[in-house]
Amino acid sequence: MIDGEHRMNELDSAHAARDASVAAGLLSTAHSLKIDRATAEVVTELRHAGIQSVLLKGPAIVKLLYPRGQGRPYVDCDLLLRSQDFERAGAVLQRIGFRRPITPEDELVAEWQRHSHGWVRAIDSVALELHWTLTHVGAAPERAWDVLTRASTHTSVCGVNIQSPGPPQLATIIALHVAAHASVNPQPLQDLARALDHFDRATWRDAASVARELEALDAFAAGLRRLDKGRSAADELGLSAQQSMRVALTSVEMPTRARLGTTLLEDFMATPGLEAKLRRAAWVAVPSPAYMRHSAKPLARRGRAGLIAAYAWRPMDLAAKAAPVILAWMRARRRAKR
Amino acid sequence: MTEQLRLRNDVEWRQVDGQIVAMDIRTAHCVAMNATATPLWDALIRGTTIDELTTTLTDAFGIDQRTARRDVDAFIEALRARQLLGN
Repeated sequence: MIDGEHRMNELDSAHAARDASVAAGLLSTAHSLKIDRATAEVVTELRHAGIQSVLLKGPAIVKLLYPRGQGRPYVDCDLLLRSQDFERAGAVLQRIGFRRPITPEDELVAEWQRHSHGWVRAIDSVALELHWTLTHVGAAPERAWDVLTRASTHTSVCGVNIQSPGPPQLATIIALHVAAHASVNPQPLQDLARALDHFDRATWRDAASVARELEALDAFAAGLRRLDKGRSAADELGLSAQQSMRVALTSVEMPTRARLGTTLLEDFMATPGLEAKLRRAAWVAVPSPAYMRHSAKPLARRGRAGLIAAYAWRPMDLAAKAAPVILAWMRARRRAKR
Repeated sequence: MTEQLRLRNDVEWRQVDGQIVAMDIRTAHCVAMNATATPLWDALIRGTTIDELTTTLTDAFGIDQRTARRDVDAFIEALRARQLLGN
């Protein structure tokens, strides 16, 4: 009855599941459990350092919406912190083996999309996102903290009680997650479908108020409207179907390779002044070596020669992406104007 | 046999595609169990005995008592070896 034992990322070949997709499901579930273990450890260590944290997704969603956790793995831990606690939290994480794979300065991301720092720990391959806010939230981080932690609850994760969002806040987070990611990842839509069945209309009304306080109402509505039942809910709540350009950029369908480029293009268009625009363009055209090694093609990680070759290839790579990026950006602009 | 059997408190688990994936929180060691084990696992969460587990298997899968008892003994032994059962 016991098919296999999974240590970290190993799969005992003698007990490997016959079906590769079943094996993949088992491995991803095992990894989710290890993320939970690390989450409990991180939150406990942060608590000892006097740092409060809130579990935004993962087990907070699974334990409420997925009985027995079926079919809902996750690849990282998302914690919300007060922005003033980030430096001390970083010291705690480094002490327990986490590292930043890339610094914020090296990361190629639109300024308006910055919302978290990524950390990884090699020994158990756990990835952690420390959030000061969420994608599409316009409110200041301090305000986001106050709104998202109001009337919070607790989720038990590997024996540790961890602060987690209350129902309206969780409903908001789920809808915003759809707005930010559903065009590339079906998981948020599954969460939203379950949340629409689980939470009553009063909770969704409160969630809309939360989204309004977070200055994220158009993203909240856009997320809801991705499903028929959500569209009905959005109409009942009187939410406008109009989307800002930034929300349209994350909700419109586009090739994966165009996704980053469209947000950077919008970032460029929104940057005031010619000098600042040229600096942004140069930063995209010639990113730092750290970015090239972390995010670009594997070629950049093959020593100095590989890095030089990756830089030489970059103009051609950008040229190949230019057309889909511009077309997707224009589609988003049309959606935003509707 | 009337010995009470129960999962340890520090075992986390999920169900996926009818199978159970369980992790010992102390060691991060994970184990996967096929769908046959699911009714037994549910009973171990509540607390149960060997005899009750045997009856669970015979009722769930229509197998004879002797076969069920053999399977239950093997399953419990495997869980004990992985230190997943509590006192």
